[in-house]
Amino acid sequence: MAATGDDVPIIQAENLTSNVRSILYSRTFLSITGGVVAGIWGFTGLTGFIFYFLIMMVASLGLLAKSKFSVHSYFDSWSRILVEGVFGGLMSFVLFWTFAYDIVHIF
Amino acid sequence: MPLKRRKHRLPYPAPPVSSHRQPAQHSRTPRRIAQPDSGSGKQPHREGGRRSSSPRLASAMGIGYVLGAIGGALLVHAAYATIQYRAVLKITEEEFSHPPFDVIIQLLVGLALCMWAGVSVPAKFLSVLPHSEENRIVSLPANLDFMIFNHRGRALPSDADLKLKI
Repeated sequence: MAATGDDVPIIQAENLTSNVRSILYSRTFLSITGGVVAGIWGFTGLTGFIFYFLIMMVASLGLLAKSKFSVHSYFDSWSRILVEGVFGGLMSFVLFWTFAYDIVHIF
Repeated sequence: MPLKRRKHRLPYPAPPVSSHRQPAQHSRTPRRIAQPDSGSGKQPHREGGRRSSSPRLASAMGIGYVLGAIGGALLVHAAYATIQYRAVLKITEEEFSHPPFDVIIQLLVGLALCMWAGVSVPAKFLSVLPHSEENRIVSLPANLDFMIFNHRGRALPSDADLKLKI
């Protein structure tokens, strides 16, 4: 019952879920926007993927700033705020990248 | 003449009474009632994501949406400009390598606005620590008359700095 000496720290689970959902929404929206910009700019091949990881790094900085750099009071580990949603966003990025590239450069 | 209160004898601290009428001649110092989640006033640039509890902006979350819409409009305009540029290139039969410089500026500004909107519009982060100010677990219900404290719970080791929330 005592909070000291626990192996597992007690955290508010529903707040954690809400925070994780919030960063997922952020990363998805930023992947879509980055895809549209990459398509308009005319990136092809590896350059586009480098652009995507650049966008994700800037997004990580933005999310760190949103959490006021005290990650442990909003999440349970560092990897959540840095890695969560990056590979899911890659699919959205490629979709909107090809979509925008087709609209601007091919049709 | 205000009613005399019963003398408070129980071991927990007396709950602050919220039904006092203020006597006109006293100037009371404002009582510090703990507010949920407004302790840190240090958020100068994050109005976009807050719940609308602050009346400072007309709609506290609206600014994020407006910035996102402006960013999207800039991107659409940049796309249209690039399509026209490609049409010109097709006439002069040159290769397309990159959009013109001002279109690139437009793309970057639109991207920056959308990134700002994308980080600030989704829900604000809530604290996950159980002992933070917003997550007080102990709370007293509205009617104290039916609660008794003279039970076996007295024998348990108690957390001396449990905070009461009313």
